[in-house]
Amino acid sequence: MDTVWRVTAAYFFLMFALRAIGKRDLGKLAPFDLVVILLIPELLSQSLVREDFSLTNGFIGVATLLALVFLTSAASYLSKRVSRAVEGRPAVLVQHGSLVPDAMNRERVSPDEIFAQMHKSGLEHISQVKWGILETDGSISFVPREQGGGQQRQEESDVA
Amino acid sequence: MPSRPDSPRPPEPPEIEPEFRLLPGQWVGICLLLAIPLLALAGVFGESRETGRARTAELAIQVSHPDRFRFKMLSGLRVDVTNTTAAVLDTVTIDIDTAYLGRFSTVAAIPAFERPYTIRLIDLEPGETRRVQVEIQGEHYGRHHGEIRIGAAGADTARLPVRTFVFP
Repeated sequence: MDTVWRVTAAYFFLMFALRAIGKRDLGKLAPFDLVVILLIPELLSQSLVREDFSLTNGFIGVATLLALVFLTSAASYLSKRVSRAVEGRPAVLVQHGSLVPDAMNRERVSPDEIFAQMHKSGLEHISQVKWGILETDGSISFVPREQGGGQQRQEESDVA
Repeated sequence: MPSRPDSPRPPEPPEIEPEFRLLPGQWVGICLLLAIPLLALAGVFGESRETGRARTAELAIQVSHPDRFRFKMLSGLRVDVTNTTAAVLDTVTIDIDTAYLGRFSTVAAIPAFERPYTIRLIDLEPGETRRVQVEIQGEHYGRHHGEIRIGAAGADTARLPVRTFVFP
């Protein structure tokens, strides 16, 4: 059945492509990203269903997609290796009050972005940050340095 | 537990032994979800054809028709008629149930219908086989059935049932 193969191919292609562009690009939705997100279904829809617009074909396509999502999620949960391949690993961008340029370059996160997210978390200076972590969903979490009692992790879901 | 001041990475979350568990209702849903693409791969939701054969004193007939296909997709009936006598058959009439063909759209035949839905084959030579093709497009969901009647003029008529399921 053609649709099953087409949806499967599209799913893995998109998963690879979205994984390749990096976490940070997934977390923010700039105008350029919005254009890409709107264009992808337009480009793919014809090649997925071709001339077959029947409800049966639609159900098969959706069932194939959801089955792939379920299998990927189950495999990610059961295997750390699959999880890292599919979701990646969090990247440390700030370490004990210092920026980590290697990780920032790799993830294409500028100091301005880190500071903007810090401000949203109520942090003024980089020295206040113990850990700044780019999570696998593209958001940046901050763990403030201990100031007297305990520490708290503040997560900022960033929408540009 | 806080990380050491010189630690290069924040503390890792604790490990647990992952196990695959689903609620009973989820098992049913997941099995159904997985079954659909598997059945589709096996061709259950695709087009399939059936072939029927019949004979009269003058004719050998083979009818191939879609057993199932999808809404708005094109398919067709093929009727092969062979003159099994030693004489030329002036006229062979192929008549397809209106109740059957009326359930489809874009109904076109080669050779063309003389009237809905009757085709006449003229001067069929001894041993000659002629093919009639009728193109149909799925228009109404469900199972449609009817009959194809084929016979030479003044002779007995063969009747072959046709059944087609159109997926929504």
